[in-house]
Amino acid sequence: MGEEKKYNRRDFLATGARFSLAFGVLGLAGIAAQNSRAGGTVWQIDPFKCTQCGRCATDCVLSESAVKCVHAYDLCGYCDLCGGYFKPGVTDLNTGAENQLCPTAAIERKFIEEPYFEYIINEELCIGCGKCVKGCTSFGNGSLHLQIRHDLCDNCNECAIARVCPSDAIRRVQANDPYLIKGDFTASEKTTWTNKI
Amino acid sequence: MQNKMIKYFLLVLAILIVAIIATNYIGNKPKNAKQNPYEYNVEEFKTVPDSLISHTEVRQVKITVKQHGSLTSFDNTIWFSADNSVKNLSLEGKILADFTVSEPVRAIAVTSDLVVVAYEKKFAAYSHDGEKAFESDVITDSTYITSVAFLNGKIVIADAGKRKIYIYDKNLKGREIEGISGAKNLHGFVIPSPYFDVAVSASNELWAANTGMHSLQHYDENGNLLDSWEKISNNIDGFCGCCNPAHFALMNDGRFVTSEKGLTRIKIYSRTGELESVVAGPDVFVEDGHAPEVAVIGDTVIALDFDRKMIRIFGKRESK
Repeated sequence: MGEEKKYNRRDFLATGARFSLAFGVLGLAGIAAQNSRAGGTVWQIDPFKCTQCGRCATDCVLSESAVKCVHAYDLCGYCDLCGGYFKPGVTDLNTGAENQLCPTAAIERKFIEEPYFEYIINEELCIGCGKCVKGCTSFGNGSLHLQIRHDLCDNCNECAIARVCPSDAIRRVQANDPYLIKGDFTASEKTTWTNKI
Repeated sequence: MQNKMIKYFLLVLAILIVAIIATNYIGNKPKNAKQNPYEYNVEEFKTVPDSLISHTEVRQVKITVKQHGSLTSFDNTIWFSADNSVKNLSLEGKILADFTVSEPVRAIAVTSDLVVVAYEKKFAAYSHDGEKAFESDVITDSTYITSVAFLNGKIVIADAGKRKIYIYDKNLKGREIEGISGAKNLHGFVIPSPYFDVAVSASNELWAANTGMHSLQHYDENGNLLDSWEKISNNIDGFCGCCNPAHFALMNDGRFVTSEKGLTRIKIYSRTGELESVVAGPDVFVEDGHAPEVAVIGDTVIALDFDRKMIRIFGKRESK
């Protein structure tokens, strides 16, 4: 009768360590594979939740905010009296600096045909304050909206503007689909025109 | 002694670190937001002089509604439609009739024998008891109906998607109005957003809100422009934003009750477009809310407040 091998404490610890190591390596490989497939996540603004509080311009850690105004042309009414371009109460609808709502004159107004005008954002001048977005949303179709530009964003672990956003409008989205552009993107249970009616 | 000093030092340091973290955590919260240096301020336009207020709210009727509906008046009662439901209410809020229809209703008009409901791309007619009389075909794929009215027994449909008005006879044969007649209106209806209302006066005048022009326009059945007026201003006497008035109704004497979005307000204009009074100012409605659809029974103005989910009834205020 052979001697029965004893499974002592040392063996138990050695086996446990091997299994832990194996699980750890497999787990890391799994996470890496998932990240590689999904491309990670980045911060983005949900334009249907944004309340244009101005903090994207003041609280981004970058000296020039990574948040810019973008224009969904398919939603724009091409209005003469554009609530996103003109200050409230303006009577002369011309491009005089005193009539413009944007603090950095980052919106260009271009005549198309009577009575339609196109509004183009100059992103180099835009500071992401959302003033035009508020005017457009309140008095127009809401075609102007804010987005985080990923060629500028540092994708901080904890986004400074997401933390202070009063409407929880900033969330992580998949990096391979990083923009929530109005027109292409519609919030659940909302469609573009149905939402306005 | 030295150990004790180190302990005290570490304790003070720990308290300091906790205090800094707590201050940062509590101070930098959304609710503690600083004054927005880029605030879009329209406060000065929200004030309405008391002398201009002609009505006071006399009743509110709670409604259950998921999508913005429509409302009109007939025979001193309210006809209200939203989602797939049509209801006839007394001014006291009592339900007089109630029936369901096949699609969500965008607009409603009522005569002595018919209730016409407009869906997004077509319309249907029912009896007052909810029995279906007929239903039209889809007008066009890009049609977006925003208003319906009756003109000399014909059905008038406002299509914001195509920027046209259609007039249908009893055989559902249609005629189009593009609003291009008249020297001042060569570009037709300018409808930047889905607000395009039509109404017919007691004297059978067809009026349309050319919202992009901030104008109310009177057309004949052939699409000839007969009369119009416009007021562009953020001030109380005009229409603001890209596209107003979002809704309007006609009083028996031909005066206009208008409803605006942006600065939500309901006003009364004379037949020639002079502001007469304010029924309800922006302070009565939710900020940046929907423009309430309006209807009129005598001097009483009825508003569909989608944001507060209620029908609000404004009676004429006693003169002081």
